[in-house]
Amino acid sequence: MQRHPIAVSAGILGVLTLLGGTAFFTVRLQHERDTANYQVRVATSVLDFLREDLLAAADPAAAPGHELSVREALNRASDAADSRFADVPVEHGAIRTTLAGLYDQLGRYAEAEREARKAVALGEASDSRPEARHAADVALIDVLLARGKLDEAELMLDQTRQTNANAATDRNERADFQLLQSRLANLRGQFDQALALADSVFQAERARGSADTPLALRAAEQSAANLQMLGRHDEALPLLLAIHASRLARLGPRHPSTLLAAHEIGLLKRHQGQDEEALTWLQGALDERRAVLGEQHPDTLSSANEVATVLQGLKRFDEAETLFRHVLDARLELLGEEHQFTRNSMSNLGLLYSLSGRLEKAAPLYERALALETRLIGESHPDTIALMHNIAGLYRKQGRFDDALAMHERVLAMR
Amino acid sequence: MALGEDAWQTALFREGRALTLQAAKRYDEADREFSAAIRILESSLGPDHPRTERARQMRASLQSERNARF
Repeated sequence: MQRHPIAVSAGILGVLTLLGGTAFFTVRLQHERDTANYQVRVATSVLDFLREDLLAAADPAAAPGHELSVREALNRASDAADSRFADVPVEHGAIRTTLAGLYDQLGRYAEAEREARKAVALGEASDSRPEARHAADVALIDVLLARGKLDEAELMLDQTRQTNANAATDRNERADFQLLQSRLANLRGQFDQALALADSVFQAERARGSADTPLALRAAEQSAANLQMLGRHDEALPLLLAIHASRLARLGPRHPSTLLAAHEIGLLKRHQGQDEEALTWLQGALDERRAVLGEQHPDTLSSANEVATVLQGLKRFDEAETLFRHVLDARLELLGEEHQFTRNSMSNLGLLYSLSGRLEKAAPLYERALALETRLIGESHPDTIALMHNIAGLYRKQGRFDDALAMHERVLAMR
Repeated sequence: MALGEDAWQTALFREGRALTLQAAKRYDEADREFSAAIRILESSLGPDHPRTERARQMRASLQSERNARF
């Protein structure tokens, strides 16, 4: 029998393709099985931990006459995790990442950072899976940004970018890091760059037909925040209204993400000079955040700060002062005086005193805030420039025209 | 430098300098600053934005004050 060379080649190719395909699917199946096993293992551990450690502590029989707060329960869980997961570092890392996220949602950033650092360390020390290490890295960078530790966050992001360049990373993981880079750029006052990063994530999600996913909505929200800073309010408004409508339908009116969208719309209305409408949105968000998140939560304080700013614009100085004072005291306690939000609060209260004619009360607040900003973020940061602009206004009211003009020159040289 | 010559925030900074120049009775310089601020606000936020309108009112107030001197 004569063998046809083309048929033989085709046959060999077919067999090789079949073998290659089988090997590929076997490896892929194994990977998917590993992933599924890992997820089941971690989910089971987390559920057991929740049931046996976290929620058991809330049993009235365990602590009669005492209602356990979420924070107390988390503290107990954190204390228990070391001994309970001593022999299983992979599960231990996942628990620490979960605790970091929960503390973060409560606005307890110091505790969140502690948990995220443990999760990262466990991921590095053990043979942890890439998705677990990614979740731990994201949790830590997230809380570093929230605490204003921008240099360390940037270092981690750079290291991660180099690692990702050498590895096949998941699309969602890349998007997570892009949004973190966008937040970092925003916090550094680089609004164009922050917008480009967030918008690329949003456009990629939209191109995939998924403009309504939590990831897409987060990207759109960050885009809108940067559009506002760039004065492009008309482009930001439809984004924010769409985000709010989507979250209202999916999550309900009192979900923290829905309230964030309402807050952002109020902020935009304030930037547009529509004070009454801004006040309606912001006061609504403030009332709900007080009820859902508590008086001292960072999100509640942000809403109180923005309500106070609108009230100040409406010359309702007494009401604004009460709110600004409360926000500053709470941020000093919660975040410390070096945090960006606390510095902003000092500046805001200083401006209120300056605008309402209490110049002697404005000066020490401005001076302290300026000393902090110059040291921590430098004179060229938009926050410092805005503060110097306000200080020039104070000097003007004090009749110190030469000092005021010198400060204006510094501002305009830095802008 | 993060904001730039044409940013709406820059317009507010120039408006602030105009107010100080006005308070120091350096009216010509103040008028030039208000004018520059209004031009930036018109192009960045739009001619009908409340901030733009407020800047126009400030400039009008400067002109009234200057005319009242003579």
